[in-house]
Amino acid sequence: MDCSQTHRNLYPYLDRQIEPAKKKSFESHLGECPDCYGCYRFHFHLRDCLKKIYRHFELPPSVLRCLFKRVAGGPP
Amino acid sequence: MGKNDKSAGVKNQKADQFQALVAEHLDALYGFALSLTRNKAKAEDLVQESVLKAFRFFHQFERGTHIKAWLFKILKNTFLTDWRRDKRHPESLSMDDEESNFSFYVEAFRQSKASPQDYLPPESLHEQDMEQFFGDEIMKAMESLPMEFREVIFMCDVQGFAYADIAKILNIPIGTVRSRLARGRGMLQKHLWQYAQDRGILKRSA
Repeated sequence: MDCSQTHRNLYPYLDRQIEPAKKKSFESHLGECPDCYGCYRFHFHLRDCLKKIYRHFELPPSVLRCLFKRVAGGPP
Repeated sequence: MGKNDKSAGVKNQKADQFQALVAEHLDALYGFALSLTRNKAKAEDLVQESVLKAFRFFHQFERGTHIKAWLFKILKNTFLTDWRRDKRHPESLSMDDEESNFSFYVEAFRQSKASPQDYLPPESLHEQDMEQFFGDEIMKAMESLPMEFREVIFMCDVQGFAYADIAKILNIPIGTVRSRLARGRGMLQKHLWQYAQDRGILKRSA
């Protein structure tokens, strides 16, 4: 796999949607090419930051209580 | 036991079952609602409206299937109904194709005519660096994306949904999920690239 093929397969790889036949060749190119490896790491960490940012949000407890009261048929 | 007592018992049982199944997904739903509305009060209302709707249609949910995806679909549809009712749509879907081809690293290389390692060395680009460099800017970049791109990135990158699940939730082909992800991520990178240049994290080309 060359650099442009690696770029094309970067997102499917990160999303675990890469075709199994291409996975080994993709990883092998990353091991040899510092630029592609750097690109991969950038996206890997960007995703990690996104996860941290958006998983930090919690539904406020008052909303949760009100919601479950309504589900149970009680007044909000 | 009277007829009314029995009916109340069945209702309570249904509510308990429902709560047990949805409780663990409420924060994820709230995050999704926030990413769509970009407003806390609206996101709270959207979650409540969607969960109550899910409860009303709980009898239609097939046990053993992906409840999180089912809840996300209900929330998205509820959001869309409200969104269509509101005539003020600032967001447009028209996108420049060059966005999809933007690569942070390729651009760094092209502009600097040097190794990208001179700018953001892969070896030292740790998680802490990303957070330190970009901080709130990642969230701003996400919020600046049109909804179609923001939602697929949220579902894929934050919630870890497979392409097939996202396609079902949004009722679009898998190919569209892929292309929206690529375009959205390209835009995200471009935003961060500009920010990094403005802050001197990446040197401007001479």
